[in-house]
Amino acid sequence: MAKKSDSNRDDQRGISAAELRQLQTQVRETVLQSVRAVDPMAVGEFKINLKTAGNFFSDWHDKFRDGGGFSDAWGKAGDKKAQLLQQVGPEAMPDIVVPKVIPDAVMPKR
Amino acid sequence: MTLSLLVVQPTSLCNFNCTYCYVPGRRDATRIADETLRTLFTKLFRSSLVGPQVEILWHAGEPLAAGLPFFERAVSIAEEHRPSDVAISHSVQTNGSLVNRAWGAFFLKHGFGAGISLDGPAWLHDRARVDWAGHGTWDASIRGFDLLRSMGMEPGILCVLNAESLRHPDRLFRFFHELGCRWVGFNVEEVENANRQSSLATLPRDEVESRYRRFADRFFELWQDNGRPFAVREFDDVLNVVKYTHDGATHFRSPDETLGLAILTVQKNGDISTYSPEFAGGACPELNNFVIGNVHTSDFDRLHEGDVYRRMRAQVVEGIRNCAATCQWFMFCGAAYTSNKFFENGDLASTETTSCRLHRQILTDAVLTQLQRASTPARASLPA
Repeated sequence: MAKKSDSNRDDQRGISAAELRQLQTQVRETVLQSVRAVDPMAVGEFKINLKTAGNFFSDWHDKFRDGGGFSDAWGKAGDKKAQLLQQVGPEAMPDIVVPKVIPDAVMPKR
Repeated sequence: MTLSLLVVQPTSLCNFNCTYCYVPGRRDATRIADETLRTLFTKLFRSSLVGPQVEILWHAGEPLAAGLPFFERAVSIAEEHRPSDVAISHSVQTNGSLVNRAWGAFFLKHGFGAGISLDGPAWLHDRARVDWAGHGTWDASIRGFDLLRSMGMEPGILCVLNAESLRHPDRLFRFFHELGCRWVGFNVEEVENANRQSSLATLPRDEVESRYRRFADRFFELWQDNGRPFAVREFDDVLNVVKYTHDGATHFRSPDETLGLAILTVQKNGDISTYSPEFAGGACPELNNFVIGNVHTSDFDRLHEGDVYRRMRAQVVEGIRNCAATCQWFMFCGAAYTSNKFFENGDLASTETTSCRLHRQILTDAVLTQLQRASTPARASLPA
């Protein structure tokens, strides 16, 4: 799975999560109070595209975020989706897109 | 180090001349060579940067201007060199104007995700998204979007918010709702790379911020009260952090743009950059124009040892540290706007940018306020 471990993230970021948390404690209390003031039940009503190992995608902002798009429809990665589903369960991959069958009429001529 | 996103710029050519585009060389029809692609995928897939999944984004410019035969070869080359235990996900960010049924069939065959750049209804979109003759491009883009949908794809939409569109949350919401799209992401018009001016910079800061706040409040209100008919990336980002925090985690976002070598951008000449893809083609002599290597001459496993990369990394890390120490919204942002720091402030170690002030600070406040309202039964209605 492509889920990045904390240590790998720390290494790639060049600064540890622990240090960031420490730095943040000085400044984030106001916004934390706003977060705590939100009713968890209200949040629970939202369909959130939760970023998990199962719907891995890059979050660069100038692209369409297509979590769950790792396709089993082609190439040697044929059993990837099945493996992922087995590992994380379908609930962790709510947005997986299964490519539809293309009618012959729209296939490019070769 | 694990690569998250490989951005390939097959050509900087574009048939559009959008007023805010940051990509230089958009009338240059040269294309990345097959040999460069072959070398890229050979070296990359042998390197330790690649984990079990790699996302390949074809971007530029208008990537489809490289032509369908090019893409058929490119995907074939990638597939030829891909190890059996690595999954690839292809996606393309396009203006949609060159899409036809053959492109749609190709995308479906290879599992491509497609993002269409569409700035709302024609009268808004055509203000900035014009062709080289200055004509509006909405008709061409919407035709591409509709065609892909008719073939079974669900393209996402990227919408750039400018000074005018911020005045029309109702019209934008109605447009996306009636379009029936499943996913919308907003970007704010940025001063970046080849784009030296933003319409947002023509207004007083207070006016921009109040306009953005009204937009965010109203758009969320309409979205929530009309059954959240499509995913909005920026709302999901805030909701993710709220949910993790409610679950007891001391969570903060850790965007790919802040992680060394998590994103690699390859230009058509094989030059490699990292962090924000917007750095590709940017001018910065002190940092070798952000080029950390070249496909033909570099060893991907040694990119992290290069002088340019190490100096960039030191500045980016300092910037993350500065953001964490000074910004209460850091948990919602993670110092995401790496390239904006340089292009707006001239300093990778700097903190606040227009994008983060609007798209993280004000947006987060707006969403949190609206979430507190979400449990009330009041319902807004679509504008007539």
